[in-house]
Amino acid sequence: MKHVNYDVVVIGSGVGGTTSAALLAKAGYKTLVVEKLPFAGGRCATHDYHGYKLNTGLNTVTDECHGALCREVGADFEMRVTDNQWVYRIKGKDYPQPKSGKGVLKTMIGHAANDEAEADRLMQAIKKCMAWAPPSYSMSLDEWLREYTDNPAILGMFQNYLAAAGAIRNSEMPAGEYFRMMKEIDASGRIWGYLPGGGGQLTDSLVKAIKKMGGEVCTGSTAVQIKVRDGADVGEKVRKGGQSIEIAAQAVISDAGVKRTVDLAGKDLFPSGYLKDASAVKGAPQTIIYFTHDRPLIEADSVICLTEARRVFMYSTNTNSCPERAPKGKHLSGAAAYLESSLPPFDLKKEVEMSLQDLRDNIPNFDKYAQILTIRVNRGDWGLMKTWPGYVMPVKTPVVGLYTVGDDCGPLGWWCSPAAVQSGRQAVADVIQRYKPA
Amino acid sequence: MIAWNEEKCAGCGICILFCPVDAMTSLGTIQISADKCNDCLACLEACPVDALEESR
Repeated sequence: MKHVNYDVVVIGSGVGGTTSAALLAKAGYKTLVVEKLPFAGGRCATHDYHGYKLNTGLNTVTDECHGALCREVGADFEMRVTDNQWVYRIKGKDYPQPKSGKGVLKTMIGHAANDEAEADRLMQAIKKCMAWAPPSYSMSLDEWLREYTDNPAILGMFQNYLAAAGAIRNSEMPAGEYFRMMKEIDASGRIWGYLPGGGGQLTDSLVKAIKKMGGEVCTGSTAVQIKVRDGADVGEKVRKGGQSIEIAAQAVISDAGVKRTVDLAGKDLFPSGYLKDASAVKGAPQTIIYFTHDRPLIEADSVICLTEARRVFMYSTNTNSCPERAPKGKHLSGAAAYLESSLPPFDLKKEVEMSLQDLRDNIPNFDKYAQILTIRVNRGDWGLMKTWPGYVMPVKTPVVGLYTVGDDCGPLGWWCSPAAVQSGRQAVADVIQRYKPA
Repeated sequence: MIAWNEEKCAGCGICILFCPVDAMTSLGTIQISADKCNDCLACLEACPVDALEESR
């Protein structure tokens, strides 16, 4: 068997993996990224489909989080901040969300509330959670909201906010984590923008930077085993094109998901408490429908947010801000929908049918002018996010030298790709403290 | 011919994007057109969760 040496091996080239590898390469570590799929990026990739650029996951980025990382490691970053108007459809009427400034939430709750007293009651409770102490993690956001209101328009608006950021249902969301996220939001970034060629430009750009700094990224290479040599030193076995390679390294950073990482290293190395926590990590599902049309179907530059539909909570025309993402003259639109429950079993056909029915109900002439490109129900190990918000694992595993990164290992209050970036930063900071480049 | 395993499938849809002959479609569940599929295995290689297998 072939043997090679690196300072650090990174398993998986998603946001967590490429963040880690780029920071390590910059710090002078001999770094290798192994990716089992034939492309880099994982759930942050963009693929060409008949001239349309479709994202496998990541849609939007922030300058504070993704932009700062790219600048730090010398990766290209061109974010297009759009002038999109977010429109909330509440009780059948459309309300534009104020673009910035104080009182956005108050204004929107005001639209959904039945009377001023109801709006005040809820705003007071929210203010208390932000300024004094957040609610418990043991109660759900739905339970918390229902202590103040059972107004479906308000519950629907919060479900919309939550689905867009965390991909699960109000009843599944730890209330404490929801408010923690609202407090952390300034650090993870408030102003979201698009990458003109699709979300995959982020990892593409990081991969380029890794290579430029002397790191290596090998796609089509499957990690088959993480070996621990003497309790303080790890290595890895990788299969590429039928050939097996043994890689010695001081540390392994895994972006393959916590469960897969445990399997690769062997369950026996992990205490039962860790395995118990790991079993609570479960993918956050979401239905994504991409469709194309020749004529505008959605109000120009609008992101339509539904608050009381069956499944769909948001849709917009991507090509309004990024015409690069479709053949000339064609529009590319995307819709996102939550599922009845984020826990399996899923009735896939029913979920899709209900989502399509929402689009027919809300977009005039949908059946006549929209042509479906792809429909997918992201779930399980390839959920839109690796975990539900609030169910995260530490970056450092019980195995010395083995780290896990990804949105399931980010700090509490950080969700989605900013969590993945942050987990990579944490892992690399620890590596730098403990290990020196050979 | 390629067989799709609903239990393993994580719904990422990457197989559809990688199929060079448009043999795959999805309405939540994946359909594979036996007429179009030429057994190139591009879908199988691109699947992150091994939900596609060669069958005879």
